[in-house]
Amino acid sequence: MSFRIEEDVALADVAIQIQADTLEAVLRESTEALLSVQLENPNAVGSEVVRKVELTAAAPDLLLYKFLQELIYLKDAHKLLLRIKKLTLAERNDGFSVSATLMGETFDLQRHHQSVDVKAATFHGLQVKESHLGWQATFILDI
Amino acid sequence: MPIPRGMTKITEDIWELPRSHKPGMLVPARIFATPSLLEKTDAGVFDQISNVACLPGVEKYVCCMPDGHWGYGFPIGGVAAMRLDDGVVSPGGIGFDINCGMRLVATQLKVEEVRPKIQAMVDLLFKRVPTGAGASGSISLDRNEFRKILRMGAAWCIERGYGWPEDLERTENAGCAPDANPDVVSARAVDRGIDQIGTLGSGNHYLEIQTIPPDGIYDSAAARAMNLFPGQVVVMFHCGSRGFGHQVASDFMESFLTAMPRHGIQVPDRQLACAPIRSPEGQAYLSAMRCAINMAFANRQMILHRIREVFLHIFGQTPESLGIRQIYDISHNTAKIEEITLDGHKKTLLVHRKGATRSYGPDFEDLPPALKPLGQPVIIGGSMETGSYLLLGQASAQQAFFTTAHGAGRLMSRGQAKKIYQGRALFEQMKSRGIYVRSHSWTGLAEEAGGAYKDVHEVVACAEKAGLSRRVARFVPLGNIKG
Repeated sequence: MSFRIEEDVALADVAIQIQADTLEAVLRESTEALLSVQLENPNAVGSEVVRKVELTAAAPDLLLYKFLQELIYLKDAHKLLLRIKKLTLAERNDGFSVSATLMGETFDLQRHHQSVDVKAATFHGLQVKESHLGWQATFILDI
Repeated sequence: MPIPRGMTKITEDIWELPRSHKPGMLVPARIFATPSLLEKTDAGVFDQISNVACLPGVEKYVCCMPDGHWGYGFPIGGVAAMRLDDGVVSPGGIGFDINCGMRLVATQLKVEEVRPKIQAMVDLLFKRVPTGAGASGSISLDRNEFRKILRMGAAWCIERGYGWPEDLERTENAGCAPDANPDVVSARAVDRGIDQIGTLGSGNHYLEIQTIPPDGIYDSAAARAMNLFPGQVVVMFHCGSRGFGHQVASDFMESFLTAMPRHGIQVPDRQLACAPIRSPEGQAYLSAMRCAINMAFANRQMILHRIREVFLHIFGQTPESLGIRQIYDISHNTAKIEEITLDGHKKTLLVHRKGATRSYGPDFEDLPPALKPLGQPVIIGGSMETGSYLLLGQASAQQAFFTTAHGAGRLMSRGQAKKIYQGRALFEQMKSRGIYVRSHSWTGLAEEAGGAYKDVHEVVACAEKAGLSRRVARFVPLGNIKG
């Protein structure tokens, strides 16, 4: 697990920091972080449901934002809890594109012990940067 | 937290950051706070409120309420009034949860009648008012019907028997923001909100059964006029437009980030993304925002209907005979076009209130006849352990564009709260103190512990001393449901 919840950043919400080798890994870790924030037992999420997602964005931080927003949308609109099964990321002239196969299951109050409900990804403090150490990402989730 | 250099004291409870505090500030920023509250204000508040003062078309000064803490773009407790012709609208100045608000409902029951049944009441409310993630409302709507709700607000519920006509009279703007246009709302927003009518949400959203303690009346005449008395049982709840409002806010935040360069606007913080009020983008956002306002009014109306059903079930008497009537419903995340007299001139302004409650004094035109002599009710919620307040707006709130505080504001992060408080232990402690709480999440409960919040008593006292709103009654919790 390469994500960390930053305690003193957001009072009412949750701030996450990720350190990963690749941008693909940043997206994977962000998905796991989102599940861990929402559930006391993220490992209880099965893999019966499959969803495909395709996104483009002009910059890595916008890509992360849109990806998180898509997961939150699928949670609310379709009651789905999802993690990444397969991910293909491409850098283009005008930014980045991602094609992901997500797997998970429908939210079940009896089996999925909720912690808090995430309502949105925010732009506050949103950063995705590459350095000699790899990729670092920080974002805040609105609770 | 050190007070920013250059901050001046206007009065004991009002402080000002001058325009020179930060490059780009068009107006000063006023913080309404006692010295004690000011010391507890996080640095983010000063940074964010001074950013808000940079927005085009901002009038006179921007304000931060006594319960201010940092948010997204605007601080929570942030207020900014914009000229219509050259001003901007910013979704960050309304908040993700558009028309998050409070509703207060009185009963004629006394605490000694309710206490023996509190556990049964809370358990049944927990079943009938869905809370938490994944919760669906109890009415099934198709998209056409949901669009009607977006236009009609709480009136949609009343037409279908989910409430009383007088409930609308006791709601801000009669429970409906006019000029809402569902055509500018995204399909994704509808997807997220369509089955959430009548749901409470989670986090700091709650439904609480309360009583007025023996020393809980501050204004006897106003309390009598509103038929409030010590020992009375009331219900207060806090929720908003759920996933629908969040999606509307996110959609337009993204759209404004793209539109800003076309309008020659730069902002110091992406969460302050904005568009000229008169622009097509600005007008579209206002229309969509009003849809979310209406969805939230309908949401709270449906919850009131369920509350009445629960009381009927528990007490075996009709809600009418139990006197379950609405005192008022307020919004603390909106933007409204209002006529305000500033320095002797009447101005029409778009007033952003984010985590801040409208607070008009007596004779305010939006009030029903019974409330006009008193002023607009203001409902300020504390933590689930400390209690809440009913106040009345004051004419002197004009100094803050007729605005006052909305809550207690957090003192510590959710992570810190979870380290200090254990959900199950907190549940038992509260139960031993006579407060029965139901929640889907032990960690969520710990995060909402009373110690995680500022002192609401200090906040409302400051708001009163500053002339923003005055206390009428205090309520203490008996039972609570949370997501």
